Amino acid sequence: MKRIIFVIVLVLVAGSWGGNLWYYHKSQLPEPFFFNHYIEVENSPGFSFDLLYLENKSAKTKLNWIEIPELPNVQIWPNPAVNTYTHQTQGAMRVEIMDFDLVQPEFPENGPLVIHRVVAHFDDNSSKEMEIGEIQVHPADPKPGEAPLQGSSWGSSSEKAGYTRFKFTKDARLTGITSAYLPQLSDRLNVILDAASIRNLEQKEINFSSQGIYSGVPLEKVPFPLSFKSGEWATVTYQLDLPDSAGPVAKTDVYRFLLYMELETDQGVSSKERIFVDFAPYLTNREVADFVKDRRSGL
Amino acid sequence: MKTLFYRIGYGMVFVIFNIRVVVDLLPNVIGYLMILSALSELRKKEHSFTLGMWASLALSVISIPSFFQAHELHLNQPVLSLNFLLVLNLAETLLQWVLIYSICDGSFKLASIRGKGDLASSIRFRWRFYFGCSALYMIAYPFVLNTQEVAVVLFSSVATFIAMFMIMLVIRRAGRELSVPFERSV
Repeated sequence: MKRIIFVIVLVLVAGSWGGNLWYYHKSQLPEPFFFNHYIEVENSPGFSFDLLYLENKSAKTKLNWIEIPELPNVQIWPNPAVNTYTHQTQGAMRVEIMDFDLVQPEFPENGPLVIHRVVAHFDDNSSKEMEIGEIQVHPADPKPGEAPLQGSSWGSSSEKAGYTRFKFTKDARLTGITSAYLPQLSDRLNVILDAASIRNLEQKEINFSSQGIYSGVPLEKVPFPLSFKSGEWATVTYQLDLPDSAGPVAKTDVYRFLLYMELETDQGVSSKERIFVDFAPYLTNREVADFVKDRRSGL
Repeated sequence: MKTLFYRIGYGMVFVIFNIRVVVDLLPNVIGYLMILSALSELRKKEHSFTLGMWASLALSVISIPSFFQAHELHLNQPVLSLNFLLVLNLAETLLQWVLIYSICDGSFKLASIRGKGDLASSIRFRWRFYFGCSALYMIAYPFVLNTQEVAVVLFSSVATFIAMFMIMLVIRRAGRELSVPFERSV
């Protein structure tokens, strides 16, 4: 056989091995990373949320479980492979708030308990503090008032949008819609309210192809308080819309927080109705690769 | 003559098949030593076998660790860094190319001299088939690290196995067909 063919094959083999090993090493995360979370929960049994993270598929030490020192009353359910990518796996740590008879968290005097870090435990018995974004935990309401409305239908989609439709069961006033993250996420969170009494105001549309088009008045333009008669309807629609300038890390943000409809009946009884804003990213291989590139350049 | 070619064939059986129960029941090192002993005799008839003799000597040394611990390239657990076992594996494959080239080249020349055209062309075809499949495997394998596509690697790996088996058969045929003129000429 001609020697030149052998030499060409050797060069191709060397190039393939060298190139692939180089690309492989370039595609590794320097360490596991939790995504940036916007989480808001109440300290009541049954509330749960997922903390999502990305780690190298071939990591020598893998994330085993986490501990949230501020929340002694939670159970952690690790799920190490929610999604698998070429070089990484996306795992989830499900955090579930357990019974009231456990040691309870200590809340600050005013406002919710705010948590930014968790203690991550690895399978080589090492541990370290890791950033997770933000978790806001509200104390459980000891006497939750019965809201004068009933949720009748709801939906959410992979387009980071969702709606909830309510029917009022008593005459009541809607005094506001609040959330811990409304100010922080004003650049990407659109909330609109649809009710018969405000249809004359300027409307905005939220279009999610799978569920249709929803219109309503942007929250900042709603003239609260609004009065509702028993039997009337209201629809709250939200959409998380990332600005074009958002980098690869922002595309991995995880949202699970609450919009509170603050209500008051004619008898002066006030209550809150919760709406869950829930969105976890389903990343493509390309988005994961961009995230890895960003994390590598940032360290 | 026939015995020497058959010895290469049996040696190749040890190399091709790996039956592992804690240790390799058909150790590659025994196969390479059998080929080494055959080639050291055959090189007296045809100089082309000398290269293979040195390759089989090197292979018998570097295949010792594989007797105790498997270090084949795996699809489900691809190599993750340039470690000692990976280097050994790459070296073994490259030396196998040299060894099988030398065996085929020597046999091809002996067959041509004896006027066994059919045998010679069969040897040449099988060498080319083996080299093509094995080269494809070696080029495709590292892509396992960066893609989830393994079809080419699986295909070339099976084809390489078949090609080695085909070479083993043609070497036995060479032993049968080349023994007669040699015995007459002695």
